[in-house]
Amino acid sequence: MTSPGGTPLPWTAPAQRAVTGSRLSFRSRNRSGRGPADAPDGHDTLPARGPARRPRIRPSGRTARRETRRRAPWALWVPGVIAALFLLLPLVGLLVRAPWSGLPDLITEHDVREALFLSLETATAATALSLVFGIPLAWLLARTRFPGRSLLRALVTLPLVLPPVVGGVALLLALGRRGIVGQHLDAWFGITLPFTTAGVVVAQTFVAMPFLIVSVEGALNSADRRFEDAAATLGAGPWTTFRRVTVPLVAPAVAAGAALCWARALGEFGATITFAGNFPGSTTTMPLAVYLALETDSDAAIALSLVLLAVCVAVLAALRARWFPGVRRLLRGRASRETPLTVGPEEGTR
Amino acid sequence: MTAGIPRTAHTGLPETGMGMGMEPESGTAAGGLDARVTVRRGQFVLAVDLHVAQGETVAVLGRSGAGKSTLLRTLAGLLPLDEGRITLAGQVLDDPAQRRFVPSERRPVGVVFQDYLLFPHLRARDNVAFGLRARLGQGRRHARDRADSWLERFGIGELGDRRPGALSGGQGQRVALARALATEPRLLLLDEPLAALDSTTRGEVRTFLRTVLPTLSAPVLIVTHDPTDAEVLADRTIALEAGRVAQA
Repeated sequence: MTSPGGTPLPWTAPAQRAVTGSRLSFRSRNRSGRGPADAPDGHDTLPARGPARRPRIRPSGRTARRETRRRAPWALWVPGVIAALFLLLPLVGLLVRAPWSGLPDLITEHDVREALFLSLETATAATALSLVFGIPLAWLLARTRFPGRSLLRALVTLPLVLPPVVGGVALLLALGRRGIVGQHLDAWFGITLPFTTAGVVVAQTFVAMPFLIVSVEGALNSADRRFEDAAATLGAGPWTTFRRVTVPLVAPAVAAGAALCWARALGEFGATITFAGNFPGSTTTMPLAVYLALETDSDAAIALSLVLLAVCVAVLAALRARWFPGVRRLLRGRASRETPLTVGPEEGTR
Repeated sequence: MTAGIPRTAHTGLPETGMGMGMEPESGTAAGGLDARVTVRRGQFVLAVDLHVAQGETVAVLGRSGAGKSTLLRTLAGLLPLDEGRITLAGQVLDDPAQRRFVPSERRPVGVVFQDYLLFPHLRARDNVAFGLRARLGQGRRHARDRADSWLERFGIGELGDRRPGALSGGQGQRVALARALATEPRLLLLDEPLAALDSTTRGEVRTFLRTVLPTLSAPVLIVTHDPTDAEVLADRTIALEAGRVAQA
């Protein structure tokens, strides 16, 4: 394999490689005989391959986006600015008209503090309930197959678009004293939900839990399931895998969903007033207190609104911070997160 | 260790109806792997007979789509057999005829996945300790100590605190191998152990595997598309084509 002069030639190396046996015969057989055309694709045999589903088109897409950003047309600038003003103006109005001098007194009033703490407590309880029951449901929707799963997924997220008042009425019919379940709760256990603080939590959970489910289920669907395979080969059963691998992998989405869920519960009005009524101290949450105050004392209403606004801004700031990267993604790209709601082609084929 | 064991890898398999019945396979050491694998995926049929003796390293060579990964998944317990039987160290792991199937988490099988699949939320040490805790039921502290000694043994003892994202390809490979071996598997499966590496690291990792694999008493099965890797790392190579063994 050397030239007559004894020096190795650059092109001898490939030839040498080819002669070393199995390599050559293997390749040539493949070319002549049953070639790759007969062979099924790799993903036929490995359905859970993550990277195959995500083609790498990012770099080009990113540059293209940067270019369009540089030359934004006026036709988009003008309505965009109007939209921004429209969204900001009411907040400005709130700040301008706020009775700043009397604010400390208004805020420290007993009723206000009562409503604020009730709101914080119930929203936190609703979020906790949503986590305890919502994450398992998201997992079931994402990881198991059962008849009617697609329909269930659609129905579960219905409260996202349902008018909250309708939700409140529905809750009354189901869990009210004469409701289909509520009458038994009352008769057998003496539990009454409507017009109680527990009822507030139920109403808030009903309205807010879908935010968590959608967020977590989307993350579970896009998570690389081969990590769960890896956990299984290391001796982890399904429950251990769920706790120590699956949940940590989707933790950003859980945090994001929980934050949105909490914010939604905090602002809940329609379902709460319908199902739980408006009883100061037990069911009058902040939004209800704002509405109530507006009828009698508009300064108090503004002060209450400012408190809620401050809480929401604080939450938003926390969301934007580093420890909630999932929320930023969620807030930035809602459209991509919406997909799990619809029945995609991949659901059908599985 | 492999002396005296006939190296029988059946080349041609009957197209249909495995005519072998339930008679025990001959020529397998007590600690070895004995697998008769049939899996159907639509048009594609994987039908492979495989025997790997204790301490032996066998490479399964084939192009993508030849069924290598499917074979590996059946052995790991991630995919049940349609027909056939998998026996490891005398224990039946999968036998659909007798409705026996040992799920992945209860098989003494270690797997090094193609792109390692180190858990990104856990440090290198905890990745290795994961199996010690899950499979061997060790306490957290003990498992971590053991994990550290495994990393030490593979020359990356100082990387225990790193997360997988901060590891190079070669380092990740070592952590993945430590994680798989720490559970003391009786069969080690390597899925394209060098495919994810650049050419420089490839040589380094190949050398590393060449020193580690012969020291193992468990049978080792390497799945690869690269004939060079197969030759360098394995005692014996089986070529897989369209779900069949093409060359022993």
